[in-house]
Amino acid sequence: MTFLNGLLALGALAFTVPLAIHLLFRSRFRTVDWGAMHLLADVARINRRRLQLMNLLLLLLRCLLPILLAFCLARPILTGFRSLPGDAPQSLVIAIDDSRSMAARDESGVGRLDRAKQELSSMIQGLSRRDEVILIRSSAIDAPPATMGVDDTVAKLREVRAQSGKVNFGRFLRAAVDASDEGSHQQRRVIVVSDFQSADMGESAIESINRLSSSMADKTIRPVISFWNLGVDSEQLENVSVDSVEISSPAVVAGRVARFSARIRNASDTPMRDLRIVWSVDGKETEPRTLSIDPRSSSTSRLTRRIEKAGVHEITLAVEHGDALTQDNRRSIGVDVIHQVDVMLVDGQPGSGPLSNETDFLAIALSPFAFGGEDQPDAVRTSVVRPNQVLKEIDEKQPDVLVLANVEALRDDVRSRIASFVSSGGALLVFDGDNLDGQQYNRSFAGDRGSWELPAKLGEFVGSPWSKEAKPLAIGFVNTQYTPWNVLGTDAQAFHDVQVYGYRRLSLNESDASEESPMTLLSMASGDPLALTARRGRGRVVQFAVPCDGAWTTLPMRMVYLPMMQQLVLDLAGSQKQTTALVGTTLSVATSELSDLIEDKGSVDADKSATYTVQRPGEGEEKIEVRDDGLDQLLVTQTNSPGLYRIRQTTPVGNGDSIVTNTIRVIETPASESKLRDVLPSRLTSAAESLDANVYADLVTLQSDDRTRRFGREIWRWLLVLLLIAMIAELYVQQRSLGNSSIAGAP
Amino acid sequence: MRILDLIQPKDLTRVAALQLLARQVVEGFCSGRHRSPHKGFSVEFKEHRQYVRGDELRNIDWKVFGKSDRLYIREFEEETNLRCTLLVDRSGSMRYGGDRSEGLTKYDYAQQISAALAYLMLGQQDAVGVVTFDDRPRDIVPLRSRPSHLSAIMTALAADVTKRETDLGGVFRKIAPKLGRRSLVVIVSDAMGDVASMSRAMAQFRASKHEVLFIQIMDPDEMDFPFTGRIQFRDLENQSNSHTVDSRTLRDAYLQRLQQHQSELRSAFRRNRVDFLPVTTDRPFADVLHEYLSLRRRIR
Repeated sequence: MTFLNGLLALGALAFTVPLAIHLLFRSRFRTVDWGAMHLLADVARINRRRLQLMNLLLLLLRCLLPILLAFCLARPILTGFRSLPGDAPQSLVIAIDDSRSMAARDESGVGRLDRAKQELSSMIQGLSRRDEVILIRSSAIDAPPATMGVDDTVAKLREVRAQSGKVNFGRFLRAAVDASDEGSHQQRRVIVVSDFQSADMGESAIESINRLSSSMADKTIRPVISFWNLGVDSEQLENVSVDSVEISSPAVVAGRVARFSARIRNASDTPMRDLRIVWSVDGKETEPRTLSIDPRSSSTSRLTRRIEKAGVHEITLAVEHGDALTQDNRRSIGVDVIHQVDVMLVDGQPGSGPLSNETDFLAIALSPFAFGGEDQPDAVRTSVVRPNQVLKEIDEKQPDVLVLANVEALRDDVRSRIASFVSSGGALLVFDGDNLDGQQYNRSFAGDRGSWELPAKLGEFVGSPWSKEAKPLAIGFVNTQYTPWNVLGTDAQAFHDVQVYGYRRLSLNESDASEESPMTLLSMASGDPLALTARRGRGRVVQFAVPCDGAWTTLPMRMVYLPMMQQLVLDLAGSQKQTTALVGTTLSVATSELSDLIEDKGSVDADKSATYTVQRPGEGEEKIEVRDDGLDQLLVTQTNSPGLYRIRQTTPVGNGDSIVTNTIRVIETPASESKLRDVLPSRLTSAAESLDANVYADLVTLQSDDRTRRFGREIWRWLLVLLLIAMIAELYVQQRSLGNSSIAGAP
Repeated sequence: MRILDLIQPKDLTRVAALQLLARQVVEGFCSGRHRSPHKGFSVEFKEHRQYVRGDELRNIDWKVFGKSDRLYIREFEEETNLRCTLLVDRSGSMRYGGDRSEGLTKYDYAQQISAALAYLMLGQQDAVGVVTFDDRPRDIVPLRSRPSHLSAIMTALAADVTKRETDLGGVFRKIAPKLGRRSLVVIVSDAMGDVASMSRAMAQFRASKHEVLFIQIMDPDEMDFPFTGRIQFRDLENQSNSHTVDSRTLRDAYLQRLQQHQSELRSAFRRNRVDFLPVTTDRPFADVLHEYLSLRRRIR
């Protein structure tokens, strides 16, 4: 312990004054010759010890008063017998959580991150010029740490926005500790600024922190880690959020109605009445609506909209409500609107009469308006070819979906072409039939982009496919996980009038572990699969155990057949583009997507290459290069801001001009950031303790602790409190004695 | 020593005006103001009662027999003179005298009361004796009714107080056998002793048919303990016994102990039918005595 004003500590010697007075008065007393000693002796004996204790207490208190006063004035500092760093230069790492939950505002209307930035700026400006600061953001953990001066750090802090998603605390803390190793000073501190949300501090995070703790044991210089917890009473904050915006339709086709749905959650204890919500498409708002949501519950809003133009469009839902976290009151998705789906039907058993072709039922189901002669465009455009035309037509028409209907066998070159078609993103539907050679279909489809097998091997026939007199079998199961078929209902009730006379037994093909396991879409009551699907390459294959006509089953004659096939085909032809991604995700955009938008391809100057730019939300255009891996893809990194990312292609044309085409991508913050829930204090404390860290609710206490660590603990305030307590105690003890004497005159 | 050295003349006059009447009739030799429990041939008729077999025929009131044709016996009350023994405590504790008593110690006060009582009773031709005691009986003046006996009583009372300790119960039990026949025993003491022991002694007095009056002499200081500050209380009966205390902190406990002691005394005396008269030395003793005797007269 040291003193700031050491000389004043000598004042403690004043304790001798009350001691001397006490000792002096102790030997001074009056003598009374007393008669009633018979009464007094007992009482005196009982009270003597109490009297002695009281006198001793009074003496101690009176001696304590000058000692405390002197020590208080001398300003003692506790150093704990250690040599303290004092004002030695330090390397300070500020690891700041810039996830969206940090934007939550408290009752005063100040956001957590804003408060942190303001207070940290003040703290940083108070650092000495020899100190250095490293700023780590949870959204940019992998960014190389850079030491900065005070002004640069304050400027960088100002730029931090609470926009990113879930924080991986294990990696975040490790990055902060690793950054502290880069510090050039012996004194190293890490301040972790976060609201420590429950979703971010799961078991895996704790496990990572424990591993970090173990690895830190070997460090010669361990940084002093402090947690500044800004997340307090998160559950009490009133928040309405748009948790998701989804496309209800299996595919959005230009000129056809598509459905969208959004889930809005009320995370407060009060009901939200008549919330004003607005859907918008490409920034154009639709008619506002109102919505009421009960406390702690969700509600769904739906939008039915026809988008005329193909391409990627932004669909947004905004809730107009002032709450703790306004940033999550709107959410967008990118929707890839496609042209009419081209389906090529390969008819393995052509007929001569109406509905005698193998693919007639399917063609009607896929293009009902065309069949009925109505003017309304169908979502699907079908074309029927013979098996020997496949090779030629597939290159000419470039269909989205290829259907093999009871095709007996395929030539090797056709198989190879089909294999390439699927591997490069096409969809294949295989229907069984009388002509189909099971052995051949069980072989691999090998193409120039790899080989694959059907989802299931074709086995023996079950039932009597060729006899309508046999007892029909029933369909028993529809996979509810396959969302496009949700329109059919969640059980097999839609198939109750479907009779299946026979089918081919399909056994799941699991020969290649690297491929996705097949998923059963529809199965018989016996459990045998009737339809399966599996991803193969970039495409998808669907395999049916029955034909697509009415030979083995009454399915094509039933009402359920049309929506079933429509939804399936639209799903297969649907966009494979990643039009919506979470913050921090690298976006991949094929250059062909932009090139396809050029209407007059003939004017393009083939000698000059196109240039590409990306425009991030609220920023200017930035040039990006085509990735040099032969896939002709553009990679957009630094997607830390949610919003619309516009990618442009500038293509030179012959006359010196250029054609500009563009597409968009939407970056969103995960909905989990809207679920404001603090981590359990015990869990946070446990995590902090494993790193020898302390948890602080405010920066003032944190700085105070740091000052104590660096300079020692000033205890004059405690001594002052003790002095006051001692004075009150002395008065009390004295008054207690006087209290007895005050009734001395009573009879 | 003369009586006037002990008591003021005006007090003597007042005391003389009082009539000390014993509550119970004491057997005596000479007729006086005190009634004898023995019915006999005195001049004062008491009552008639019916004749029962065994009564002497000479006591039959023949006049009544002539009028009513029934046999009645005439009964008379005989007046006797009083036998009174004064037991005066002159132990060390009686030496205390506080400021409010104007220098009068408890023993001084006891002397005055005893002298006044002796003077009064001798004036009524009652027999008066004195026993002074500390840890044992010291001066014993036998019962006499002659006026000249007063000087012997005064001499015994005027003896200086001792510094000895007292065991009141023990010394009373030593005195009791020496008192002889039934009499009025007036004890003048501060009653600073074991109450149980005193109770047993009182029972012994009562067993010998004595009427007992206990006059407790207390200094006002002993009643309200007005001391403050650090004080060494030194025992008047034993100088080596002292207690240095902060009197302020002690006062409540002392007063409680005093109240308990007095309560026990009253209880013991009530149980043994002993009249108890607590007196503080700041009160004129004649007032207190007058009040007590007036009360007894009303009871009678």
